[in-house]
Amino acid sequence: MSQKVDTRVSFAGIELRNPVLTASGTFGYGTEFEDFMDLTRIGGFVGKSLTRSPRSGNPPPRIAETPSGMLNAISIENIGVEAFLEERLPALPESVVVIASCFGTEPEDYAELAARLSESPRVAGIEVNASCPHVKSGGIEFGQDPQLLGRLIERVRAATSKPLLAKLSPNVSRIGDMAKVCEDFGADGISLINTVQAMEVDIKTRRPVLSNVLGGLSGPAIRPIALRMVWQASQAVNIPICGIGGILTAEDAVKFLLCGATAVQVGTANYMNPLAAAEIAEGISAYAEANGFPRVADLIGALDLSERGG
Amino acid sequence: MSVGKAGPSDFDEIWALCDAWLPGAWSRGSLLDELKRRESWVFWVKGAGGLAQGVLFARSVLDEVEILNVAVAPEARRSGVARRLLSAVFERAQKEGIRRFLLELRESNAPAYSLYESQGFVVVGRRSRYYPGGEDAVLMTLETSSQNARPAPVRADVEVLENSAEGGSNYRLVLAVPDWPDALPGQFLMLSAGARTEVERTDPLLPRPMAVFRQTELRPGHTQVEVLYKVTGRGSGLLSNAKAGERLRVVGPLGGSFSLPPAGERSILVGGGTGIASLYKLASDAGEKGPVDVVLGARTEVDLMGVSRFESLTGVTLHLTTEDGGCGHRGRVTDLLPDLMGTEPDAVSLYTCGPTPMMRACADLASQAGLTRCWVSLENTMACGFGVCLGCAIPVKEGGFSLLCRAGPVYSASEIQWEGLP
Repeated sequence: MSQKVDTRVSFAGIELRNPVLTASGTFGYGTEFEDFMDLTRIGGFVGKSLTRSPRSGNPPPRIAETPSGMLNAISIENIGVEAFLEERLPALPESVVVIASCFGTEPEDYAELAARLSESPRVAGIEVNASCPHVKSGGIEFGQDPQLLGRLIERVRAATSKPLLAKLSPNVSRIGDMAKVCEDFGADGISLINTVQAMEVDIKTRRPVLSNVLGGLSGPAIRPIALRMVWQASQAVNIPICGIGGILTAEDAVKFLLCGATAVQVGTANYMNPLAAAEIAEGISAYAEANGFPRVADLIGALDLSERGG
Repeated sequence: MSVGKAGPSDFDEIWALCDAWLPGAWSRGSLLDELKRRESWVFWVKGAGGLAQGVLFARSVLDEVEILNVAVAPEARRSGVARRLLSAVFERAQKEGIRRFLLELRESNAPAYSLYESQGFVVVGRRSRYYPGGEDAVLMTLETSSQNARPAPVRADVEVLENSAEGGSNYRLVLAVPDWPDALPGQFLMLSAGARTEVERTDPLLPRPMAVFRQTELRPGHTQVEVLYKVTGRGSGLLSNAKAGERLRVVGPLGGSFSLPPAGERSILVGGGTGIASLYKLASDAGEKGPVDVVLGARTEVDLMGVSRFESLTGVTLHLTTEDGGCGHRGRVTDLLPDLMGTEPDAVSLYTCGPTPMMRACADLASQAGLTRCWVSLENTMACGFGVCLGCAIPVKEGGFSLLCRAGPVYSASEIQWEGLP
């Protein structure tokens, strides 16, 4: 009975040693976490979204705490694709699975980034950030319009043969339709959800708390919304789904697997606990073992929908 | 006077001053290449009206920096321009983990020699008849002491040993932290807002940054780490409820540190409120190198914290101020600064941590007096403390933003764009 659980999953053509990735924008470029853990304890990580040139972010205040969550409006601050390839990627151990996230204002920007990133054998996959809710143009514009999204995915698909993931916005009314568009235009997997567009106000100053006015809400506050959307998307497509949204513990992550996610991304939890993703990966394995699942992959979609009270 | 980093877009102005002050050192082509090189450090100082007063060229190779040329406009000599340029180099070096500086200068260049010597450079060699005309070159180096090497942080759920009210809404929290690497002066830690239980706390969600106050060995492998905090909201309120034996989550030590003053030179440390915590280890370390004046200020006597701790440090003269005069000088910390800075402010290092208006007032007084080594320790909202949430960015004078958790929390006062602080 106490045979070791097989934690491996295959996600969109990427072989992962366990289903726990970390979400773009919450794990830097990976090396920031090496003080705390061996990066091979997690399945892999999705790097900070990259743009063609380095990009500076919004003025402060950029983040704010909200009930069981936080708002952020950083605005894709990043070192640019070339510095990532030249400086950051070589600094990571070979055995770490790295998924690169790209961002732009035109499909052409994404395609160029995908092509450039695909030249590196160290990049295991490309995630298209079609959902950043707090930049003026690009991102969420793609994520909220099925036609634009289709064109974007089609364009990026033509630019890379690496596993291609589309990161979707929750700020839409029919997530299943958006996921289907991505599948139809050649995405290998779907990551969802990005942050929920939100705002907060300080009544002492009567100002928005963020300089950008609007931000993206993350953390446990959005977890049930994320779970619902992962479930809906998993009903709509045959490509695998990476569940994201407020995962703080292994129990949270198991819920996403049960609802049909093949892998998960841990985001905000990395801030409070730099070991969160590793501990969640180990906790999923412990759950599988305790509940008689020889493989973590057996948890995927194992939600029991049979009639109650039997 | 403002100091900034120069890049390719400043080529025309830099070329004009190189042409005038460093004849033969650069060609137009080599200068442009230099400004574009990633490893090139070019800083310049502008005076009133934006006129360039000095320029410094240096280059980094791994953890070393070679200072190539320094030039100061004739009319701006002896006004601290070169010193300002060097501080800019030291500040960047601290952020980038530079361990050693190298330079060579003409044997006859006495003003430069005394400047470098005052910054701690030592002569390590000589190149005979190195310069055209047969003059010897003197080689000097400065090893940055291991004080700048940041210890690797730990994450641990740690036991509360004591959490005591210290007057007003101030508290002192004592933790038993396993495997704690000694924090450098000015470093901080992230602390969960409230005790941890079986169920992961989601509200408040984020940890709080706290300066490391005292750290003493508790037993082998465990350090007693103290922080000071003020109850200002729900997170600190929950923290104040944490009881001895309960556990809090700690991530740290994080951030950069204060640079210690040059050996033998005087330093002044000005602390307000819980900001005094950041200055404690600095006072202790600086007190072993030279005389230290510590000024602690608060609204009333009950708000003053840590007085006896500072009193017991070697080499430290303590000055207290309260706004109501209940203890020490009646008034503000800045009232005492002009006298303490004295007549040779260039030979004094000033360090301050406390409310932003207090730090700004100190920085203004220092700048008016010509004191160039003025360091401030800032705070900001942050979610992680180790450089990934990007939430703690503050605007800096050279343009763009600086991540307070990594590049700070200690900044040279001249770097800060005070108006843009959140």
